[in-house]
Amino acid sequence: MTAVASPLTTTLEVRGVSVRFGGVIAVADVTFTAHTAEVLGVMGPNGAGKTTLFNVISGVQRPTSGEVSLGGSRLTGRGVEDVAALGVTRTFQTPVMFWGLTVRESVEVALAAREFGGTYPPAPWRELLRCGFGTPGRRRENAVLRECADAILTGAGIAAMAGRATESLAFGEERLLEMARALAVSPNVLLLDEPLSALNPDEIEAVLTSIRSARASGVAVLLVEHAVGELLAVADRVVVLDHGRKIAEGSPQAVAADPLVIDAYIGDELE
Amino acid sequence: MYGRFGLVLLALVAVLVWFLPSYYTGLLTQIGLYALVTIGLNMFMGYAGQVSLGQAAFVGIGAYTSAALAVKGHVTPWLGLIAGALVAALVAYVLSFIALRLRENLLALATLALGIVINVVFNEWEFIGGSSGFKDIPGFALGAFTFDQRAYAILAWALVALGIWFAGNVVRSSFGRALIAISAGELGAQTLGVESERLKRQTFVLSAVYAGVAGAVYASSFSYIDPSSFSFLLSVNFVLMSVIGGIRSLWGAVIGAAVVVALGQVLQNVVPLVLPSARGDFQQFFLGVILIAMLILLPRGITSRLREARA
Repeated sequence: MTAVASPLTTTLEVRGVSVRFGGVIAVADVTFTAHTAEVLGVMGPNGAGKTTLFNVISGVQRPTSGEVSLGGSRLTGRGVEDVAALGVTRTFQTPVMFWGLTVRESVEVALAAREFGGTYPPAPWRELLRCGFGTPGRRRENAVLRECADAILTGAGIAAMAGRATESLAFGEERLLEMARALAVSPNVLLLDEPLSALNPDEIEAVLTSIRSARASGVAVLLVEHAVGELLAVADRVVVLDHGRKIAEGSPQAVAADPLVIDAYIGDELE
Repeated sequence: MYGRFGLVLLALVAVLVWFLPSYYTGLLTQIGLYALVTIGLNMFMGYAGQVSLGQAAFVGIGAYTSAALAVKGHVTPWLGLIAGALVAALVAYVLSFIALRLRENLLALATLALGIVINVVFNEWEFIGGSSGFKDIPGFALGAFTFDQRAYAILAWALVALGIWFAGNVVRSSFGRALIAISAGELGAQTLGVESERLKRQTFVLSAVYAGVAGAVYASSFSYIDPSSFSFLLSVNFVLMSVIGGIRSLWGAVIGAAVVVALGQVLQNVVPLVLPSARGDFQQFFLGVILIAMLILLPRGITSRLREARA
């Protein structure tokens, strides 16, 4: 008997996750896995629980029951920074910008965490003293961070923005920067919450290119997106939520043809 | 850049003290010590985006530590200065576990309350002099030379130069960028692995070190301290200096300290002419009015306007 070799390595496991806010059930017993080097689309009408699910995975929201783990180690119960240190990062529906920093400096913030083993600052106090006294070693590291940041901005196609103040960015540029920043931490799992909304066609193309290249480099990308056409085009697999429950999972074609899914979306439009 | 700026100021002070009357030399010392506290406060408020209405308490802890060691233990103020900074740091570290759980308005209230509680301790603890404090606190000395007004002004501004150099290095490093990131979007920074609580704690402790150092020098240069020297009003004045100069600016801390001390002098001389019955509290009243006016007219401080003018 030959074992069927799975081409996919399991990375992120979501097992029986439920979230209740008082009497409201936002996420109900959701289970799925996401694998390295795949784009997993997460679909569902408004209020289906997609963002809440992302909050649970990224450590922002503690689930009422169930757990999330990555490569066997438990993420549930850890703080946001620790989840990030294990390689799970995300973007937000409304991009979070670090006003006061330039585009390059924003990426350097992300890089600093990666360079020092996942979280920043690393060892308590020592980093503050090294920075304050401007030790030669620290200055060298700064130069390295800067070079890495420029490489990442070039890779994201936004090298021209490097020196600009983040306050001056247009919405689409904010999205591209937030995406580049998230990729700067070399995540294993990247959660993208509606990365295409309110973008022009060129920007959409740039984000989709980033998503594909992240997948090519082995990242498990979880993609929440209302632009169903784009989502089905870029996703390898799709999970569909409705009223907090998983109602379908499978290939984009299979999911698009699923009567339950069609019903959920049409039902939503009628409401 | 900050280092050189500090050295230029130090050189300027070192020259000025030979020409100024001793009263003004004393004011220079005061401005320098206030600037030092405000540099630390700006790290915590301007860069890390937090609030502290209790900074005077850390100045007091530095002053009391140094004074108690000198008066009771005959310890040289040089060691007292280091001890004052360490005790202030330790207290800030412990308090941070309570205070930094809170955000914004609640953090402001918590630091305000902690400042008042520490002042109550100064008042009630007989070992450190209770409400009458310490007098005849030994001064700094270098060999046979006991510090005079001039030497204190130079010491204060040497500490400002050191403090602004260190803070300048921090704000232009990864550490400083991470502070700005958490003040702008804490959750966003955390999802990248930035330990916001650790950053806030370390910056709070750093601000207490600056305050503690200033307090230790203050105690020896005035040779007298009591609890009222470190009241809530002083904390408010530090916030005022911070806001006037621009909270996210290290130069602003120096400008803010100079402006507030100068304003105090002007008010002291002008208010009695206009309101003959006015007493000291009126100064505070006018400083309060100025704070509100600043927040409305120049919310990002004087240095923001200078920056715009340069751009």
